[in-house]
Amino acid sequence: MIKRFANLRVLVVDDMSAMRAAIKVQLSEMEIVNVEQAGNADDAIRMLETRGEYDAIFCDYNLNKATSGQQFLEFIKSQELLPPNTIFIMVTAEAEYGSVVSAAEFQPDDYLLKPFTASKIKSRLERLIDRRDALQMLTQRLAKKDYAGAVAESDKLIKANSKWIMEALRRKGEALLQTGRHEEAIAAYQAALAMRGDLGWAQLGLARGHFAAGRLDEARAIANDILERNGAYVLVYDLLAEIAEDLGDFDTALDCLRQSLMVVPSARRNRIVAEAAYRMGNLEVARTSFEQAIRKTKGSITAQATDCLFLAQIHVDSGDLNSAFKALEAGVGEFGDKGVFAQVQASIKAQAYIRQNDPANARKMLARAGNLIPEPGGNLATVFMARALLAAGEEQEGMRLLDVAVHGASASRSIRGLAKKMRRDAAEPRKVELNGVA
Amino acid sequence: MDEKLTAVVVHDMKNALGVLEDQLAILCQSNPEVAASHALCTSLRQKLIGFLTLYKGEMTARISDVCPEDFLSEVRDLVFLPPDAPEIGIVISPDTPVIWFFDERLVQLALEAAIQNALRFARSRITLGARREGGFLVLSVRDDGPGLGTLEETPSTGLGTELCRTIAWAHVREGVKGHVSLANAAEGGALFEIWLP
Repeated sequence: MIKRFANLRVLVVDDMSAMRAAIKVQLSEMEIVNVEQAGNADDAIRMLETRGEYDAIFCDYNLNKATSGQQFLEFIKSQELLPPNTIFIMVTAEAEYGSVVSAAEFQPDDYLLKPFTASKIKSRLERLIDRRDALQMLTQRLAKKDYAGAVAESDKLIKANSKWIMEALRRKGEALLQTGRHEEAIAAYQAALAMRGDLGWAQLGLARGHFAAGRLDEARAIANDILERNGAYVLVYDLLAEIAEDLGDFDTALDCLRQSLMVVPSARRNRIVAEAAYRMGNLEVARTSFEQAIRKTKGSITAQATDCLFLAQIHVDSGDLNSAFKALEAGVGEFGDKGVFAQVQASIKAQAYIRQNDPANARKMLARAGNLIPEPGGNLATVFMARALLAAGEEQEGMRLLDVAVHGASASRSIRGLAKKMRRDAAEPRKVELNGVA
Repeated sequence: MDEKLTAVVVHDMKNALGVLEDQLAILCQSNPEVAASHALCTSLRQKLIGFLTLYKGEMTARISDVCPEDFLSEVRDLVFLPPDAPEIGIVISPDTPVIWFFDERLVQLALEAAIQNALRFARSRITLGARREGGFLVLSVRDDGPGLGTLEETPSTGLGTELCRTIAWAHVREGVKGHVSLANAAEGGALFEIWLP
């Protein structure tokens, strides 16, 4: 048993050095000596990027005012910095546990409530490692996006009626939804619900299955049912927003997302609201939400270049060209004029120069954007390039790029939505102009 | 006394007890005489957490799938026993499902309270059990003491009983609530059961 722990690599993230030291002592009692420490989220993220894979991360929920343990988890999961086999354990105080758990959009593998003893850590780690090992094949398939393989691995666990059956059903449902096999996904979630009718994740999966199959009313009814029992389940708001957006009911969509932001006031949620507001043509909400995201992440490693880019585009759309250039300048200061930032920046500047009646500079920027984008696809750079071309009157090429973006293999829902918005705007240029003036 | 202040004071005490408990655990390794103090400290911390859980207001059970067998082993492993304490065994009835749905943290608090109680009466053995009874998972704690109705040297506060009852009630499945029972076991001794729908 002890050998099992001795080789583990552990990262402890806590702003209080006394707490880090205490956990380190407790781990050393289990012969775990390979323990590294980070005093804040930024350091921890750098360590994840540079120091290789950890077996387990113990992270305190209260990191500091800027970033909570939950936001740290959100960030490393959404940026794919958390290897699928790393066990993430959130350490919380007894008193805050209830609110922490109910609003958790990204679930850690486990929670550890303070105060805990060395034997508590040991028994938890033992179970978590058992779980990790039992699910290893399934985890690997999902990480490689081998969904058919993941379904097969899930079925093995389900058929064996193992104690991991619920996790197997959950992941099977996800894999099936990813590959468009909605009816089979629905069956997997129904199998889970047959065992226990009020499992939130299974009901959400069921609703997603109905949504994917085009049964919007059924999806919405189930989603509302979940919220009635747990109003803090933020992923349900996301689904309701997607349903409303598909129906063209943008007010309701935005309203759902703003409710989710009230539950989880994170920069990530600000971005979700902001991007949706922009797609739906609500420039005011989009601007303030991106500004909030920028303010919340300023100077932190969680800051994202796309926030500045969107903000600049919104300023261009509103006709406030000075603010647009300023937002881009701030972005260069923080992220450097390189990568996606450079690609998109050129497209936005081109539009700004067109609005300023400066065709020479506009052409220069268009050429620069064209040179920087290696190959058009389902990504942000392509959508913004298309936008710039449309603004320059190159309608055919602009529309072609939007098509490429919508159908690109890597296009996310939000990229597709954004490209569609650009297409709508292009079809009704006068309306854009009016929005801009307002 | 002001409620907020009470909560802050109790939390502080609980955290301090946690630190003390860890220090006593380390001391125990070199000096077995400290074991009784360690056990006392553990039971005090558990009581405080029970108190906090009970008086925080409405209790919500956050159910997830739990393997009863694994769960009982973990509960047992986490009980600190001084050298002369009774042994704790586990009996899993063959009809016990591989997984059941309950709030692991809350039910653990309930079982800890029941075990602390059993430790006061048991002669040599405490048995944790799991079985299925209709639509319920029944988790039990049986001691081999004199049974119910015994006069206690140090009477209990009733906190444990109320905690267990509230935790059982927080578990609801399709309108059916959980419950607890305390009776004399057929084999002798007292038998505590928590019924989870």
